[in-house]
Amino acid sequence: MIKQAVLSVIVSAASLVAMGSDDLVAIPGGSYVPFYPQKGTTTKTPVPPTLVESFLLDRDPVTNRRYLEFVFQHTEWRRSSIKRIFADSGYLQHWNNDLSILPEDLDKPVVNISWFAAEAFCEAKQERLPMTDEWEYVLEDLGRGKASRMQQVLQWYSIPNRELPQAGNSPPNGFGIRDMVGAIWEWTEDFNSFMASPDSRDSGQRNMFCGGGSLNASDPTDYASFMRYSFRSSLQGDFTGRNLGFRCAKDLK
Amino acid sequence: MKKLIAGCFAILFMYGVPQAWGHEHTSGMSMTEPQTGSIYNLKDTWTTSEGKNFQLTELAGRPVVMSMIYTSCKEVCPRIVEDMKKIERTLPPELVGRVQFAVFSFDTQRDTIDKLKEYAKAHHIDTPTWLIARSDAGAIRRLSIALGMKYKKLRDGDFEHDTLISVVDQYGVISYRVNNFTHETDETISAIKKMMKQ
Repeated sequence: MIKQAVLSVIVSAASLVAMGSDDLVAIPGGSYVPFYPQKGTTTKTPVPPTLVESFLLDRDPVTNRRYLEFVFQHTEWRRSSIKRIFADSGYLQHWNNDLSILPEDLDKPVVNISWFAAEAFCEAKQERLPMTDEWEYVLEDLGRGKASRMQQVLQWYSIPNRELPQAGNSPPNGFGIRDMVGAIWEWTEDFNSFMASPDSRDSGQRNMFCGGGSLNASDPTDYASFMRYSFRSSLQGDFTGRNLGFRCAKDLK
Repeated sequence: MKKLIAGCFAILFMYGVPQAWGHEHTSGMSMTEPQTGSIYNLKDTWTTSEGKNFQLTELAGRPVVMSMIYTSCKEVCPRIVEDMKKIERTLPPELVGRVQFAVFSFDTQRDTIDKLKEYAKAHHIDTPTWLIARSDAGAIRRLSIALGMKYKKLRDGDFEHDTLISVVDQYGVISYRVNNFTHETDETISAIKKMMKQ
């Protein structure tokens, strides 16, 4: 009861400036050309497009405010009770304690979140994390504004540890989705699915970004994608980072 | 204190109740809270090739050598299983029957209980020290990520995946991992010996 009161004070303190929305946006299905081809295709043939079915995606990344509401109800995901297998020691380190955070951070994307924590949040809402193909498809935005987006991505990647903007800060892309670029890196459901070399399952070798690996890229000049795929493949499920957050998705039924 | 109690349970299980997991036993270990770094914090339900439902924490009390495969996999998965069998064959006499071997399927669609049973028989792993299990897509993703195993479902229904073999100790903490076929089982065996001494 007392905790409830404390929480409502914390939340109401900055409710006037709430920006990040929890709306899910319907993303019409389509196809995109993945950065890396699936197994079996070679560099001699063009990378075939990957089909993505219609689905729902959060308009904005999940904010500290929404995550605070989640840990208030789901005590096992609070900073002091999290199991080490599910998150490293950086988990929610920017919060003051289990249920308190600076008011100016409430509507910023939540970061210092592990895959297990992000997944539990989405699951509690009967949602899920977006698949990598879905996430990349939305970023690619059916090719709309490609040149400027690649510039924007590279420019953002080049500034380390910038102060986070409020969620929903950037103009929506063609799908109506905001902050795909420029705020945070985001978890995907199958971040651990990245296999660069088509032969990796036979040889057990990992030539991620040298030689053979890079030759398979659909666009070797797309440095931003190299960075994104490289970053994803370096992650483990318990990792947290001060620029690593998430948004949820849902099947369209 | 908690550690001490968990330790007592472990000792009880290691020395007091040495029968294989596949047999009936009281599940005292699963009543205690797993260590914070234990994969036994994953609460998903799995089903064995015998149709028995279980949670991973029921494996606690002995080292488990585990990996993930799918039964229609022609080349890599049989090698993973062979590698695990080799580990079992080279166990020193005092450890025989006291190490659990477990393989978990990626393939929610094709790997039915009957398929698993067939596979276990064909590969001679239908013994009490082995188990082969299936679950839903979420459980599979969570276990693969907890183990650090990469995989991707391909368009034709097959899977591209690591060859990772993990050894978890009696508490479910990952203690040893090997991700290629060139390693000698000696190292795995000494890792198991070490955790049995703790």
